[in-house]
Formats: sequence, structure tokens, C-alpha cells
Amino acid sequence: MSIEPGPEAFEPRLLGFLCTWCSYTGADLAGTARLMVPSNLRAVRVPCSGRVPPELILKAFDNGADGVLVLGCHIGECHYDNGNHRAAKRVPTLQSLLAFAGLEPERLRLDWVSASEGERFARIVSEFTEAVRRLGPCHWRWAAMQPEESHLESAGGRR
Amino acid sequence: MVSVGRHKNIHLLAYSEVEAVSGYVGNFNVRVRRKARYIDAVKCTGCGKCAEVCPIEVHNPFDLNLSLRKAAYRHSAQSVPNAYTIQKRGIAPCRNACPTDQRAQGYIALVRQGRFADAYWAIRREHPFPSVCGRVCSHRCEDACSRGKVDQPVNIMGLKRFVADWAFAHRDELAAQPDKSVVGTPFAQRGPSTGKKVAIIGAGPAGLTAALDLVRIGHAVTVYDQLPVAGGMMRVGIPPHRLPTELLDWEVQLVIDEGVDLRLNTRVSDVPALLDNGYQAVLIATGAHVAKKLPVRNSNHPDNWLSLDLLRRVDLGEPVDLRGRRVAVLGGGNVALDTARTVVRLGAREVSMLCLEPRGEMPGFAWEIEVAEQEGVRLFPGRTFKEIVVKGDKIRGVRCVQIEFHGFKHGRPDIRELPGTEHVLAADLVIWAIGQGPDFSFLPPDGSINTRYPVGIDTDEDMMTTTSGVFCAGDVRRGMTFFVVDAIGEGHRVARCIDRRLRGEKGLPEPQRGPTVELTEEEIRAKLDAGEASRGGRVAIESLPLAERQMNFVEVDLTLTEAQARAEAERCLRCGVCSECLECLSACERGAINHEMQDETVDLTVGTILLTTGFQDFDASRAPEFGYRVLPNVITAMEFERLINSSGPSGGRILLKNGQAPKSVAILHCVGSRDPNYHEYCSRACCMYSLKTAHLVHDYVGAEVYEVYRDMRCFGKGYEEFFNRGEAMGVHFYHGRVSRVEAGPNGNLTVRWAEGFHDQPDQVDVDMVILATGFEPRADTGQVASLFGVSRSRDGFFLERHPKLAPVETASVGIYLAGACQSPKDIPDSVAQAGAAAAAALSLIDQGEIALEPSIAVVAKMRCAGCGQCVAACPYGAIALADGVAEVNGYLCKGCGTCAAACPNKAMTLIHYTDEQVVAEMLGVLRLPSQPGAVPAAEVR
Repeated sequence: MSIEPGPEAFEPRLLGFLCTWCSYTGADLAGTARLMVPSNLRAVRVPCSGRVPPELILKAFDNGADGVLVLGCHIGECHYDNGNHRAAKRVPTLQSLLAFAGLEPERLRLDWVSASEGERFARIVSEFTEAVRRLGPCHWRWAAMQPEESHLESAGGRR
Repeated sequence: MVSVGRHKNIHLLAYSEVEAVSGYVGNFNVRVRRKARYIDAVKCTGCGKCAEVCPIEVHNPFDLNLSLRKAAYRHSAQSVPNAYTIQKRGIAPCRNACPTDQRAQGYIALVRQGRFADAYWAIRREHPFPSVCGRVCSHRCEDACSRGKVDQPVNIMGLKRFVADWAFAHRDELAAQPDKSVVGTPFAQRGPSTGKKVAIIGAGPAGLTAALDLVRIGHAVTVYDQLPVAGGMMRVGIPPHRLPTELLDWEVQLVIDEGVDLRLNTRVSDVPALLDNGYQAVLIATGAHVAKKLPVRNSNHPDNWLSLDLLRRVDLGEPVDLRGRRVAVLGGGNVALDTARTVVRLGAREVSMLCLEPRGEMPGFAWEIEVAEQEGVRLFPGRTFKEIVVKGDKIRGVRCVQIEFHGFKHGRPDIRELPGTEHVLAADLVIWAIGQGPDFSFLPPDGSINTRYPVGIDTDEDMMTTTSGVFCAGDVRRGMTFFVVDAIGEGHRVARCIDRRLRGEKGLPEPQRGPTVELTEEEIRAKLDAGEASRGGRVAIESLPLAERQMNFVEVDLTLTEAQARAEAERCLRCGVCSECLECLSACERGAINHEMQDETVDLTVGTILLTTGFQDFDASRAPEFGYRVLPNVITAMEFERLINSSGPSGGRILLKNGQAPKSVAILHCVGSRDPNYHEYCSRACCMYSLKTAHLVHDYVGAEVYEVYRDMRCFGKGYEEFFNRGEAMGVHFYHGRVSRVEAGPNGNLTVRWAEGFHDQPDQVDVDMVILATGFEPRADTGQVASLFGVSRSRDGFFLERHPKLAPVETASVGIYLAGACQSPKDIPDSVAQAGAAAAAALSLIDQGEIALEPSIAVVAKMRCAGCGQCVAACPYGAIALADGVAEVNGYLCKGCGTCAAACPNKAMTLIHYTDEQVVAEMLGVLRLPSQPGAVPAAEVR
């Protein structure tokens, strides 16, 4: 379900967990290469995608994230051997639980970006931003909404 | 290489593999398996005499399989250490199956080369009576033969017989040669006496084999036998149409001639007295010469003969006349067959064989059952005998009933008689061949030499009877019969047991053996494809025509001809590679060879590790567009290197398949490199080595050189200048990306390319094509990477920590990389990188301590429940449970934090990336406004 676009388009708030060695460096490369990357993504650097515990992803949704993007090294290339294998198991499991809890699983995305893939990073962030934009704001944060945000309510109602 | 080999601080462990690595920087534990060379590298002088006499030729990988080398080989003319090695894969299955431990692969390899005298000495090393086992053995070696997995096993028994017969025919020549059969054994001939005396009762295969071994150790041996001839069952149990007696008599005499005191026609009736009369040990090897009868009615009539009695009489030359007789042979085994075929030759009018077992389950050799029938023996299987029918004073026949046979259970036959099938088989002479057993009548009556069920002499695991000093071997020990080869095996074993008793610690130990080779069907087919063994079928043994077998004991089976024997020997797959013929042992004057060497495991503790495992060549047969291994005269640059080398397979000459020198040569760049179909990367060194190849072809082959290149990567010092010299020399450089190499107009080759310069051709006809193949990671790089805990980059080479900031380090502290294993590079760059890695390692040694990243995992022990999730999650094995809680090894931890995410209790956390820190960062960025100026939303929950 999505909301009608209002007079101000909804800008999703995206949180990204980027691993130090591959995806964060790839994001850096996108920057130095002056590629256009939507500014919706707010990056948090972790040593490895395997460091990301599922409960922190939930906390992100609880605290204002409309979408969470976890990026790690390609399978087989994890700087710490197999941390990304752990992420590859945890995130899809969490996605199915999100559906069970009533949140769209598409709000959580796991992908792989290597240190030399600046363009890939830019593409993934753009795609994800548009996908979450279509989904609309995450309703978990409505409950803690401040009055300033009420314009979104009037723009077309809850989901 | 020489300075490395000679440096006192460098321990070179050649022919070795790392099997396990554990620990951490400063304290790595590396387990190394040093493979057995079978040659002591310190004693070996590199003279090469072992290689000269070695009969096994294999492809030489140093010459890229363009030449052959021997199984005893030196890696290359300049190898360090400059010692020889014997390539032995393991024990051949034929040796493993033989009770005498006969190294069959050895004599087969020598027969293949026509070295029959050497083959004879090789056989005699383990087996004193090859003329016998070459004819009558159950040949378990053939049943185990790898060749049997794809077609028929090698006729090992036939080859043994061939050599035995050849040796007999050339016995005078052999007598003048040195006896090499003691080489490689603990024995010597006519060596110093030990002063001990041994008595052996029974001159059969077990007794004589033990006698030979004991005499060769230096003991004084006396052999007693009650018969007028020596040889035991071999001599008086095998009829002459299967084994001509003069061959066995010669082999027996050779044993006696080594110093055995033989007393024939002497029956020993007081065994313990021997011990009182100067013998320190006694061996009972009296065999099983008493044939059995069933206690049916009239089985004691005098025309009931025993099979063994008849065979003995014939073997001792007594004329036995059975003309006109109708003979029934009772029994279905090999002795019954021997008896029946003997009776035919003694003129009997009718010969029948009756036995319990149905035809398909008769214990006799299937081939011999067929031959017996061809010779006129009538078979009546599946019958039990109820009575010998006697009328007056003559036997009339055997009354029998057909049965259902269900095998032997606890030694008794399980049968059901079929009603209404009783009949009398007419006969006037019955010969019993239903089994035989030992004669115990000479044993002391007080039972001090005990017997046991199933009625053999009781012995312990050192083959000693219940009387101390009295040993036992062969059929008399087992209580029933097995084959000659088993008796010989027991003879060897009891000789060792007796020697240990006589000489205590100096006595012969039981031999140790390595693992047996098992070839898969694929490996066998690959060997056949490579031409290592002939594809021919097994040679058939020819026999005397039936008409020529009448009334005589001329040997029926003919032996192989020399040509047949050599052809059969070529079918051997050389499972063990080294055939253990032990010719090298005879040839080595330094005593450097030891075939009993085993692999050795060495544990090293080191502080740092440098990986310099190199690369392998791209296999050009993966790229069919280049025609490698399909078209003639297409070679790789590496093959060219060996061919142009004056110590290489062609002595430095470059020749086409038709033997002529090429007049034109094309060198093609980027084979397997810069191609998304094979390897995307550039192999860096090939442009330069292609230019070198062009120079070599121009200077030494004198052909026109055409070089087809996509780029000229001449990046180094003097490299571009070298290219210019090539151009000046007259090499034709064509820019292009090769699309195909195909057959040319005159039996030569045509190379076609695209992306050529507009003013240049896009094809050329040449006599020879040289492919500049690229580098790729070695095939086992994945295994080596997991062994050492290093990562690999996408192209499969080892991954450096950072291309600019840490090019020789890996993510594992203390493990460094250098050379082509990290990425393709040439020698100057490899040397430079190696220097960098050595310097990095040295700086660690110099500092004596290392600084580690502070971001490691820590456990809040109070919260830890000891579930072990973190232990399983850690890719570095840095966490262990101690006293029920987790503990992190700070040296091994690399700070990835996977354990922290896995901990259900949040007891594990990562310094500088604790959950609180990450959450704080997360909340911070989420509070940032979406658009500039708007107020942040959402309170912290």
C-alpha cells in the first residue's frame, strides 16, 4: 500500500550499515568519483556485515528509519572470511519475521558491494530509495510522531 | 639456489607439504609432512646409477611431459638438493595380496624390458619356488590387479612361470652371476655363523623357505624328511603333467646348496629330544599328507585308494598300471582333479569324479574342471556317497544319491537327499580325495605339543607350540590345507619368529608396510590414454593338443614365449610407480637407498610465515580457438622454453612434427589472459617473455618471426628498448586479437586475427605457433588459503591486505605474501616483493612485539551463559570456552564482531563498536532532517 503523493514528496529516511572493508570503501569511491547518490541514506560503519545484530535493525525502524540497507562484501570475499555468510542468513530470516509483524519486508535490503564498485553502490542506493519512497513512511514511527510530522497524516492518511 | 641450500640458517625441507597450521603471530605451529624419498639425500652423490637400472619410465613433468624419466630420478640437472628421489606411490595391490609379500610389480617391470635374469633375482628375493607358484597358485595377486577393473588382470602367474622356466633353461649362466636376491633383505649368503642350530622337520615349502632364511641369517640348519625326496607336497602332491619334477628339484637344490643340512628318509619320532641334542629351536612343518576317507560301508576294501598315495607314487616315478580299470574319484577339489587327470594318463578305461557340491560350487579351479572334462573325466557333482558296493572280492561301484547342497556349516555339509535319485556308479577302483589332514603320530604322547580344533598344532602369535622352543608352520599348523604360497609365507614368518627367539633383540623384526595404492577407473583410463600401459588383452596360455596328452605326463600348459611375456608385462599399470624391483639397491654404491622409509611428520614453531607458492600456466587446451593439442606444431611458450634448452627433451633443437626445422613461427599474445571467457586480468609477464621468445627463435632457429599482439606492455627498465631491438632485428609485429588458429594450406598453420591496424594483414601462414599463455593461481590455492587462513581476491590469487598500504601483508598478522601467488608478475618484481616481505617479517622479529588493532571482542563474563554461539561464529577460532564462559584470544581476534551479533545474551561486545556506540551513531543520523531546515522527528524510544 502506498500513500498518495502530497504537495511535498515524501523523502524516506534510510539507514545503511556498511562494512568497513568493502561497502564503505565502495561508497567512498562513489563519492570521490562524483557519482550522483541520493542523500537519503545515512551510513553507519561497522567492521563487518556480520556485526549487525538483527535487533539493531528493528531499533532503527523504531527510531525513524523508513528503510534499512545492509551492505557487505560479496560472498567469498568477506574480509573476515565468512561474516557476510552470517548476514546472509540473519537478514532474510529477519525479513520474514518483519512480514509476520506487519512491516513490509521490502523495507529491509541486504546486498553486496565491493571496494571497487562505486557505481554499484550508487545504483543500489537509488533503487532502494525509490522503492521505499513508493512504500511510504514506516508506520512504526507514527506512534511517536511529533506534531510537525502531521502534514503527512493529512496528505492521505495512514496505511 | 645453491646459496639457499648451503646457508647454515636455512633449513630446506624439500619434498614436503604443510598439513596443518595453528596458533598466531610469534607462535605459529606448523605441521609438515616430509614425504619419503626412499633415498638419503645426504648420502646420495647424484651419480645416477639408480636411474640407469630403474625399469620404470614415466613422463617427466619438469619437461612438461615432453620427455620420459625414471621412477628413480633427479628433479632437474640443477636441483637443490642435487640428490635423487624414488617416486613411489605406495604398495602395489599385487604385493599386498600375496602371502609371501612378493614384489610382483618389480619382476613384471623387468620382464617388460627383457631383463629376465634380473627378474629371476627379484622373484627369488621373496619366493624360492617360482616354478611351482607360477603353475598352481590361487593367484590372489591377479584378483587384486588394478587392470582387472577395466579389462582382464595381468597374467602375473604366467609371467612368474615364464621367468622360472627361463631361469631353469639358463641355470648355468645364472650360477656364474652374483645372487642379487639377498639385496634389500636382512640376509647375507655364507655370512658369519651365529653359533645357533635349528632343526626343521619337513622339507616342504614352509620348511625349506624357513631353512633358506635361517641359513642366510647365519644359523646352522638341519632339515629332516621321511620321504626320499625333498619338496613336500610340491614334489609328491602335484602330478608331473602340472609341474615337471626337474624344475622343482633344481629349485630345491639351490636352497640346499646355500648350506642346509638335508637328511632324507629320516622320520623324526622324538621331537623334544632334538632340543636336548644341541638344537636351540625346532620347527615342525610336516604338512597334511594324510588323505581322508568317509566311514561308509566297505570303505576299507583294499581297492579304496587314497589320492595322495597315488600322486606320491607317480611323483616318485613308480609305474602304476590302471589300464582297463573303471575308476571313481571321490571329491571335487584340486586334489581330486589332479588325481582324476593322473588316472586318465595311467590308462584307466573310465574315470568319474563324484562330489557333494554342485558344479558351480566345486572347490577346484573352474578352468581345470573344464580341462578335466575335455581329457575324458566324467563329472557327477551334487551327490553324496552312501556305500562302496562290493560283490565277491571286487568293488562294483559307488552307491550315491543326488542331493541339494547348502554349504558347510561348522565343518559338516548341510545336505538334503533327493528321494528317488539313488543309483550305483559303476567302478572297480575308488580313490578318495575328499580332504586331507596332518599326521600327528610323531608328536609326544603326553600332549606336550598340543593340537587344537580344527585339528592343527596349537601355536601362539609367535608361531610357537605349547613346548618352548618348538615352532610350527604350514598345513600342519592350520590343520587343513591352503596353498603353497601360504606355506611359503608362513615359512618366512616362522623364520623371523625363530630368529627373534635365538638372537633376542638382534632378531629380525616384523616388516612394516605403508599404505596400498588403489587406482580408480578414471586413473586407469588416463594411464592407458597416456600410453603408460598397452591396451592389449590378456595373453592366453596355450596347451598341448589333447591328442598329445595320451598316456604320458608331459606338461600340458605351455609357457609363454618371450614376445608374449613382454607383451603381457606391458599391460601392467605400474600402480605403485616404483616397482620395488630393488635394482637400484644393487646399483647404489653409497648405500643411500632405503625402500622402507616412511613419511615423517615434523612440527615447527615459527614466528612468521611467508607464502611464495607461485603460479601455474594457463592450460591452453581450454581455449580451442588456438588449436593446442588439436593441430600439430602448436606449442606453449613454456614448452618452447624446455625445447630450446640444451638440457631439455630435444637437446635444444626446435623441430616440427615431421622432423624438419620451422621456417616461420608465430607468437600469439594474451592466451587465457584479458579474456572474460578465461581470465579477465593481464598476466603482466607474457609480453616480455614473448619478445624474448622472438629473439631466441630468430637467433637459434633462424625462422621468420611474426608476433601478434594486442598491446606491448614493456613497463620495466630496459623493456621498451628490448622491444625496439626486436623490431630492428626483423621480427614482424602485427597488432591484433587472435580469433583462430587453423590448419593452413600446405600442412602448415594459418593464424587469423581481428582488430588489426588498417595497413597490416589480418592473417599469416606459419609452420609453428607459440602461445603466450598467461598465469593463473595454482589449482590448490583454495586449500592452501584455508590452511593458512588467508583470503583470496576475485581472480583466485592470495589477497593482500591493501594494494598500496600493505601489499605484502595479508589480513592475518604474521603471514606475508610474495611473488606470483599474490598476482602475476615477472622475476624482478617477485624478487623486490620478496625483499619487502622479508623486511616486514624481519621488522617483527626485530621489534619483538607487535601492535594489534585495539578493536577486539570482549566478554562480559557475568552475562555469558556458555552457549558457544560465539565460538562457532568466529572465523578465526579466536574464542574458546573456559570454565563454562567464553574467552577471546586477543591475538587471534581480528575485530569483525560477528560473535557480538551472534550472542543472545549480549555478553559479547566489540571494543569501539559496542551496541551502545552503534545505536548512538544510528540514532544520531536518523535524527538528521530529511530536508534542510525541517525539525527532526521521532523521540528516542
